[in-house]
Amino acid sequence: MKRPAGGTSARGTVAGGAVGLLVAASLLGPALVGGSVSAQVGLPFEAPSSAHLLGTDVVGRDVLTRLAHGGLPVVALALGGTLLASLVGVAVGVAAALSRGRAGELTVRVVDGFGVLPAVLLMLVLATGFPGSDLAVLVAVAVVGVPFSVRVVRAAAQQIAASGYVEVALARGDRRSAVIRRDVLPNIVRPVLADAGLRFSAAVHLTAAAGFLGLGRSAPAPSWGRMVDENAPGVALTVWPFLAPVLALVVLSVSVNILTDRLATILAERS
Amino acid sequence: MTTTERPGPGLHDPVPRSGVEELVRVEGLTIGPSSGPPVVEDVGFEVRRGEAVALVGRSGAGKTTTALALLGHVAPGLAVRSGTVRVVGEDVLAAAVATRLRGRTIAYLGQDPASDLHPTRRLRAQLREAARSEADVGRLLSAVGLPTEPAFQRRYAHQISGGQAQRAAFALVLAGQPDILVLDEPTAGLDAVLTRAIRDLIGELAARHAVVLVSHDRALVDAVATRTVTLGARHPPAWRPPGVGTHSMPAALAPTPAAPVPGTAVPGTAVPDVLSVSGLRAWHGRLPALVGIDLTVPGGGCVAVVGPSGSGKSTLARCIAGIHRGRALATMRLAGAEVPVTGRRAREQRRAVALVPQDSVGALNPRESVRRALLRAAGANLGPHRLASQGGPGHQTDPDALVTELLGQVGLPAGHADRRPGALSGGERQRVSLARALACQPRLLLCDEVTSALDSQTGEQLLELLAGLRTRLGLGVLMITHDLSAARHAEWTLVLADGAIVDQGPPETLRTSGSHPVTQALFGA
Repeated sequence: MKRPAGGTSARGTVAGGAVGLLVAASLLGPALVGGSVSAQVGLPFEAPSSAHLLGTDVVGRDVLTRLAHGGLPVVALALGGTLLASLVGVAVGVAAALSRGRAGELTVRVVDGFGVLPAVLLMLVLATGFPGSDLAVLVAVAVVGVPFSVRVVRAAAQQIAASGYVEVALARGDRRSAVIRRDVLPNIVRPVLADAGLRFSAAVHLTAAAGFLGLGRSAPAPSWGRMVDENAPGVALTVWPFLAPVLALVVLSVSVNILTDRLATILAERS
Repeated sequence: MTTTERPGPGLHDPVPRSGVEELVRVEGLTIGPSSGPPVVEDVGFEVRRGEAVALVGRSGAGKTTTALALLGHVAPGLAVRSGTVRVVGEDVLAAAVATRLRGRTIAYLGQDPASDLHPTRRLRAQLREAARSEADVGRLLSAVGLPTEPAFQRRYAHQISGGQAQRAAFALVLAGQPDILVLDEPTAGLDAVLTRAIRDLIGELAARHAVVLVSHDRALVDAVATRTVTLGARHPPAWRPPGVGTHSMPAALAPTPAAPVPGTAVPGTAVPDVLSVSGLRAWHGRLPALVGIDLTVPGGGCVAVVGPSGSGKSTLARCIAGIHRGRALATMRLAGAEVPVTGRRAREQRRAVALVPQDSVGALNPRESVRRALLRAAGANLGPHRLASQGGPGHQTDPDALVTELLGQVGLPAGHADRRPGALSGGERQRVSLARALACQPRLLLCDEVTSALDSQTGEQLLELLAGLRTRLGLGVLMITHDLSAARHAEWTLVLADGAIVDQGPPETLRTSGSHPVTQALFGA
């Protein structure tokens, strides 16, 4: 059921701006802000000054530099994992929707099996397999996303597969690949995009948690999640080394959520 | 089956408010694609509570577009150029207003209402979600003349008949207690008995709500509408394709159009059969759907298959087209060569049969222009095209010329090639669907309810068009239809009931001397 939509478009615009800014900052940050992320430049937990705008962290490294470099693992891994999950989801979902007989149903049941695995547990197990590597986080994000993606894509593709134009195309002997490329894919773009947005939102939570738990690339490498963990003990001395990455994570995940909500509403209204 | 009992007391809710209440006001509404002539031009009308206003006009006059605009919906590819649409005094063209009013104040029932039902939820669950209280479920069902017992409420959408699904969709719409009901072709595709029942239902609804009705069914409009608004009156009459209508085929409204025409064939003569099927048996899962069907379609001939809903007509079409998904057995010859009913067919065998599907909305890919759809269907045949060479001026291999030629064959202007289905009317879509079928250069056209979404004038034009194509191209036509006036164009009619042929003969003979009760019910209703 649809609810009144007053004011959501303004919120959507603000959220969109925030997401754009943060994603751009995390992807481009390492290029824009030079300096070493591991060099000791002062005493631990120095207050913000003109030399170090956000102060120094637990071992006296520049917080601003680390903040600029620390968004990349959060955002890039979330984006990569989501992309991977969507690609697998589209491939499996469309194949399941178009398959005859019980093969499709069976595939979905098997994929559903992955859906019951708790995301963080899965990530921890994978991390023991690839210690100190971002690969574990990437794979965990993708594996967690795939079951939902498959279900959404399959449901959307089944509807298209039952339509008159697909039946006509199959009846006149068009190749399955042509039917998928020209009839199915163009008509499931919207649900796939909306689903990817939701996946991305969940993926950001997971990659931030990975940093906090110390998974992924090992210690000196900055990550917003890890910075929160490292700098929490110094809150009494200076709050910014802790607060800055917290704010970055909160604003990113809240605005991604609002944006995907808004996107889903727009897509639902148009379809 | 569905009964024809009068709607129950559930309809007396909501109680009508103050006497005369203007619920809808449309002024100077013009809607069209970004370039080219508008689909709807300068339409204005108002609807008060207790009224049933019918939007009439030929196919393509913008009836559905206008009806959807009342809900603030404009199809992709179209835009409101000018005018206002007010529902209970609010500007419904604003997205936020439309979202708020839909369902509770104004509700829409589309051309295929059964598709509004959720496929994997029980009727009871769907109605309970939409209704305000538990007790309303039974009242809603009785209001639309459906059984109220728990066993029925526990069914899924696929476990009830098409007519019942249509009524269930009505119940679902009524659950929101809307003031205004917008009904788009509520009786399209229903047989005569169900049509009468739905007509009574609409009459009852109009007394309590305001009803905006889009229909080409003149009897329905006459019976329920308090006022009619004619759309597209300013435009010139429908463009007729060259050669159609002046052709030596039976005239549309001639009293005995079923007489065999010289040059075409009736079963039993020496013309080779395009299609012959014997002993066709088909199943849905374990349920038998067809039990021993024999039929032949001669080249240039037209055979109609009629029967009540659920008699297996669509399954028959799907078996012949080779897209039936269950088990099926038969000996089938297509253009002289034996083909399997299920399983692999060669590409050329598949292209020999062209399906023109039932639902004109879902028949065309909404993201594909007419040109792309046609060229894709023509596919590898982009060599000398048989259709293109019919006209005389040599072989045409130019894609644009082919598209123009195909559109010309079905009486559409070449300018429609760049449109998407959303910018076409129901009748235009059906013609594009036919053109797409012709692009395969088939030997047999399999027409599934091709006239059910069209007004009578457009429907007759389409049938004449088919008749012309039959003689010019030697196409066999197997026409599956509810519409008995469409069946009159056939030389031979088969009556299908419960998966078996119960009666057959020339349509006129069946009308006067059909012996089976189903035949008598169909022709008598």
